[in-house]
Parts: sequence; C-alpha cells; structure tokens
Amino acid sequence: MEDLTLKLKEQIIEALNLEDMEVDEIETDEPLFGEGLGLDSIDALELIVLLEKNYGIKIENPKDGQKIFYSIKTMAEYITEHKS
Amino acid sequence: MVYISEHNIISSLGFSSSENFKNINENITGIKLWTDNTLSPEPAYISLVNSKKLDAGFSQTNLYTKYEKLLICSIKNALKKSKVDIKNKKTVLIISTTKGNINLLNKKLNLKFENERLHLWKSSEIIKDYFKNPNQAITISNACISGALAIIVAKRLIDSGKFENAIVSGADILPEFTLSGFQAFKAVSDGPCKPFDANRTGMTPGEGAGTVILTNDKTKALKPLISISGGTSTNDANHISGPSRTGKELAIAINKSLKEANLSAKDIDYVSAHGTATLFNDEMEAKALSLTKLNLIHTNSFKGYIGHTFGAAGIIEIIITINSLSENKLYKSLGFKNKDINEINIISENKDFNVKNAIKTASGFGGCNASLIVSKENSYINNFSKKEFAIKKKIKLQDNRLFINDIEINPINNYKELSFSKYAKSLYKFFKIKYPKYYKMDKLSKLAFLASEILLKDENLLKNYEEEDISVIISNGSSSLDTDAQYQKTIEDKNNYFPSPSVFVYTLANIMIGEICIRNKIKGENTVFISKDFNKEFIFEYVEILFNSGKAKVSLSGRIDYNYPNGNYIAELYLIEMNK
Repeated sequence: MEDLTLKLKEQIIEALNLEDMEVDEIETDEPLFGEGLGLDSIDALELIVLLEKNYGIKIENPKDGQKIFYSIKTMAEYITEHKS
Repeated sequence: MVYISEHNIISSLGFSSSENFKNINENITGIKLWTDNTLSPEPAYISLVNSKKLDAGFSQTNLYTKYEKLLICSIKNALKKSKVDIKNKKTVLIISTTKGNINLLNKKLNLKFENERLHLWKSSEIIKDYFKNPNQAITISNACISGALAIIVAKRLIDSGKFENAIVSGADILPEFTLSGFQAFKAVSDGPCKPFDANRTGMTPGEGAGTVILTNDKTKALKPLISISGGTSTNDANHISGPSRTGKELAIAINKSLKEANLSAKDIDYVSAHGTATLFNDEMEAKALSLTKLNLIHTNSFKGYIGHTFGAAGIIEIIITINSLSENKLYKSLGFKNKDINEINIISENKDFNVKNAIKTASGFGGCNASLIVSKENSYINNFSKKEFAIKKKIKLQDNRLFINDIEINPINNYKELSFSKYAKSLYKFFKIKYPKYYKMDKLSKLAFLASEILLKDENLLKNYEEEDISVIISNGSSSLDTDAQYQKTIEDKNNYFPSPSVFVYTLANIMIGEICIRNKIKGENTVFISKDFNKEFIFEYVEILFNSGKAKVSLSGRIDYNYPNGNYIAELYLIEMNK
C-alpha cells in the first residue's frame, strides 16, 4: 500500500503538472480538492485518465470520482480493490 | 444601421438556409449515431455534413480542405442572391472558427496539404483570394462564441464607418481531435442532446458552416428589413472550462446589448439560446435569463437539430433566429421534455408568433459570453462619439528578452540559453508571482499570463474601473497549435489512446484571455483576432471603436503569439485608457 501511495503521488505530480511539488508535500490523508492541493474539475477528469492509463480502471460516471479522488488514501484503496 | 442582406447554412440538415428551415419546421434532427471508429473508438451521437455532396460542388476536390470547402460553398451560396459585391473595397470578409484545418495534424489521414494550412490566417487568406476580396480577411477564434462575435465585430466595423458591407462566415469540421476532447471531458451526450431538459446528459458535437451578409444599404437588404441592433461580449472571470455559477456575466452582456439597441427586456419576444445541453451551461443560461427578466420569454436552442457547430454555431443560429423574425414563427426546442428547476419558458411546440426583437446568446470555454439582438422595425441609436485615448504602459516579452516601456531589462542570468519554460519560470520567480495555477497553463497561456502580470505590476489603474468596462483584445498568429500538437499525440496511438482533458482544455487561443480575466477579475469585451503578423493599427482601431461606442473604458491589448512550429514567441501588451 505504501509503495502504491508513493507511486500515485509521483503520477499525480506528473499528470497534473504540479511543478515545484515534491511527493512528501502531498499528505496521504488530506483532501485533494478544494483545500489541500486545490485541484479542480479538469484535474478530476485527468485523474480518471490516470486510473485508466496506469491501472486499467475505467470510471464511467465522473460523479463517482468525488469519493474515489477524495485523498491519495481513498484512491489507493479503490485501485487495490478494482485492479484487474 | 446594419441590415441583413443574405445568408446560407450548411449543416447535417442541408446545404441551404431554406432546406435547414424546412427540416427545423418539421422538427427533424440531423443528429445520428456514428459507429465508424475513424472518429472515435466508441459510437457517438454527432451531427455531420454530407461530405460527398460538399465535394460535388467542386470540379477539383483536392485543392481545398473540407473546412475551406465548407466556407467557400457557404459564402458562394449566400452571395448568389445578394446585391453586396464581395470584390468591393468597402466589403470586409470576416471568418470565425475554433479549429479550422485541425485534421491536418493527424498524419494518418494522409491529407496532402501544406502544414501552413493549419494556421487559421492561412485558410482565411485562401478564402479571400478565392473570392477576390481586396481587404485583409479578419479571423476570429474565440471558442464557441466565435460566430456571434464575428457578427458583433462586423456590426461595429460598419457602424464606425470603416466598411459598408461585411461577409461573415463561420465553419468548423468535426474531426477525431474535437470529438475525443469533448469525450475526455465527459461532456458528450449518450443520445441526441436535450437542451434545457431536466434529464440532459451533455452536448452533441457537430459540424457546419454559416454565412451572413451584412450591409448598411437598405436597398441591398432582405425584406422585411432586419437589423443587428446590439451586440456585446463579456467574460466570466471564473474558470477556463466551467461556466459562471451565477450567470451574472452573460446577463451583463444581455443588458449592454439591450441598452445599445435602445430596448428593454419587455421588448424582447424571443430568446435563441446557446443551450448546449451540458448540465452547467444550460443552468448558467437559465440564471442569466432570470437575472435579465427574460425567463418568461419564449426560448429555444437549435442544438437538438444540428448539434453544436462550434465556430459556426453563432452564425447558423442567428440565421434561423432571423427566419423566426421574417416568418413570425417560433420553433420547438428539440429534445426538451421535462422542466428543470430553473424554470424558463422553453418552446415545446412550433407556434405562430409575431417576433419583433430577438436575443441570441452564446458562451464558451475561456469564460466568454456573447449576446446579439436582431430587430424588425427597430432603429437603434448609433451613439458613437469620438474619444481620445492614451497608452499608459507597454511591455514586450520576445524570445527571452523583456522590455518595459521600450527599455530592455534582463533580470534573468543566462537568459539567452534557456528554454521558454525555464525562462518563464525564472521570470515568475523574479517577479515574486504567487499563483499555483500558473504551472498548469500551456505555453501560450503562461506567456499571456506573465506579460499581463508584468504589465499590471504596481499598476492601480484597473481598480478605478468596473470589471465590465475592462477589455482584453489580443492579436495572435499560431493560435494554440503548439498545444494542439501535444494533444494530438495523446490520441495518435490506438493502443495507447488516452485523450488528455487537461491538455485539451488549452487547445483554444482565447483560453489565455480567460486566464488573464480570472486572475484580474476582468469581465468586459474579449476577443482573439488571428493574423499572420501583428496588425497593430487594426487592434488599436478596434479598441478605439470599443471606447467610442461605450463598450469599454480601458483595455489590455496587443499581440500574444507562441509560434508553431518554430517556438518563437512574442507578447507585446499595452495598457490603454480612454481619456475622461
């Protein structure tokens, strides 16, 4: 799980162009949207692509993203559960 | 006064205005399920023009691209019955598009056209030469308000006396590039789109062309006389892809147009809405109609008939709106069944109705909005009054060199050796800018953002003005092609097909204006004019027209261009203020 969270942080920094940001600056439990990293709706869509590209997981309804992308932790849990 | 002379529509519903009117009158849609995977790996409901029929109009089919053929065919048809002479020096050609020949980026299509055709100014030049128009063609690329904005610009250029007639033509094709992007945005409807319906699930992408010929000469105009009596653009200053949450900025555009047309909300008989059928667009429009007391006025959207035709949409839809004025008939808003919470008066069946004044609205990425008023029997006041203006400050950022008021300053070490991205990041740090969104921008937006930050540093001028009186008018050459090419890579390989939403959102030149507006809370007139070189005289003339007609009091204007493919760049930005 810890490997996965670290990898996820790296992938998010790359996919969302969070230049200047280091992996240890992203808290595993902190909300990714609103407060925290301050991501927005386009970033949420990019995270959907990230899951599909790197983990083969398809999210059909963007609304499901709200729960899945709450934090790095929730993302990692979702991936562990759904990875094909 | 600016009158309608002639018009033409090319869409999935036919190649003439009358053919389109007939199908719309019979509530027929041109939207179909497309299963051929050349456009999208998944089947999609879209609205396409019959390519074979389009080609049939050309003796040699390989001289022009599909986009250019759409424009040529549409302009030709509109000119047939018009008394306006396209070869006249007093006739200007204005072209609106979002993506032009963007399909030429897809090398697998093997289209045999030179790369220069990717530039919107190049295709406009080709069209101008085809029709032997003597003036430089004006090209407007401002997301989904491009068409409506092109008509507004035409009206202003005629009202100001610069021209007597305008041929305004808009077109967009629907290649994989565009369809995949909107799919990545999860914005495409799973059936024909349902504008303003409570159960709407997104837009239906489409393609088409529209041409409207405008003139100040009554003898060249269609009967009954219909005039363009008002037109305004605004910016949400909220988000680059999501519309305003309040509808306030579209409402400002509507109110300013009403004022210009010397009308009030109660004079409006019909609203021809943008109505893309995305959840947020339609909600925003409903709010704007409530704010302007137009929520009880008959309203429809034509997207259920022909889909969203992007750069052509404003022109095609204003033509159908004009038909409602001349025929006294309102058309059913196709796809609408269930009322949404934000109640507005959506037309559920065709009906006979005397329409004297109608409003057309449009909104697009980059936070832009436009409103247009067309009128029968209305004589608006041409309240142009000559205003003096002054350039308050100038900055130029060109190929890693920075000039403030023409004095070169080089705050960055080794600036000559740095890539644009590294140089830009050094400037960002040198000027102590704190704006995390900066890192997500594409190169063009970074360039525009930095130029505006440096221009407005220690400058309190904008604080003296209302948000809606500040305009951003930008000349650009290569549009967003640098980012377009980057996006194309994400869809090139069918085995590694992951269209990137965060790249796609920057594939419009006017996103840079959106970024500047969000940062500085600017809500006034905003336009991207595309031309090969910086036509400074024209941009200043246009800003002057905005000042003279009361549409703006201060402006951030100039040239911002990130060249494709050579990567040379320039941001030459002026802060211009109208003298009180």
